Amino acid sequence: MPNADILRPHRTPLVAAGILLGAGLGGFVDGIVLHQILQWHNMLSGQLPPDTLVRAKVNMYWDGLFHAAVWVLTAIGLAMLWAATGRADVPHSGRTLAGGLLLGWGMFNVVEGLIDHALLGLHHVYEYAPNHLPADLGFLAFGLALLLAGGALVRAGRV
Amino acid sequence: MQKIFLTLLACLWAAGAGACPWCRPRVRAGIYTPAYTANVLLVLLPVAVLLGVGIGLFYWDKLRPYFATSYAKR
Repeated sequence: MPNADILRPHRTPLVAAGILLGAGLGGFVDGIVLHQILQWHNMLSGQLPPDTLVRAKVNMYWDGLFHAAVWVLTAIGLAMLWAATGRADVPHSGRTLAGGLLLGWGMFNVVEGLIDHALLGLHHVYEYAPNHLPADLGFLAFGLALLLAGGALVRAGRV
Repeated sequence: MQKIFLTLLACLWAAGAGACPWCRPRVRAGIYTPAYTANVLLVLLPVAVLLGVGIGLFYWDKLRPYFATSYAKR
């Protein structure tokens, strides 16, 4: 039944666009709030503590590379959103998009938390505590909460 | 007008002088180490994973039949 498949609404492009936009914006929240305003950590502060001007500036370089990468993520998400909204088979659902955004932010926290904090130890959420685990787990828990909220919103946006 | 222009020009010059010329070579040496490529890959790894998930999901409707036929042939 190929005709039935064409008529069936496809929400995955809108969810995918929301995920990339949410992950990109979540990356900016991390970079702006935790790296720059609160200065809890930098991209490589687990390996190169920013305790001198030179080390702080080296970390600033890696923060910049990270910001450039999440900018690309956001730009691709925006292009995907433009492509998805131009398709007749993709429903125009604000809840689905908002759910995708929360899913993306949650995925960012979980993926970044597992890879950078837990597996590689490039940095931890709060470098100034003797025990890094509570803040790292809090970051992951916040990510899981965002995933649950995003999943609920995407389900609520079903047509 | 000329005074404003000259003041702005002087500020521009002062900003350059206010940078950190002595630490710049050390910063460059700290960035471009033998571990540079590895550091780039490590910093970009989470973003690459997320990009893969997003692009895979965006084209999922086109990819799904391919995966379905691949599994059916096994």
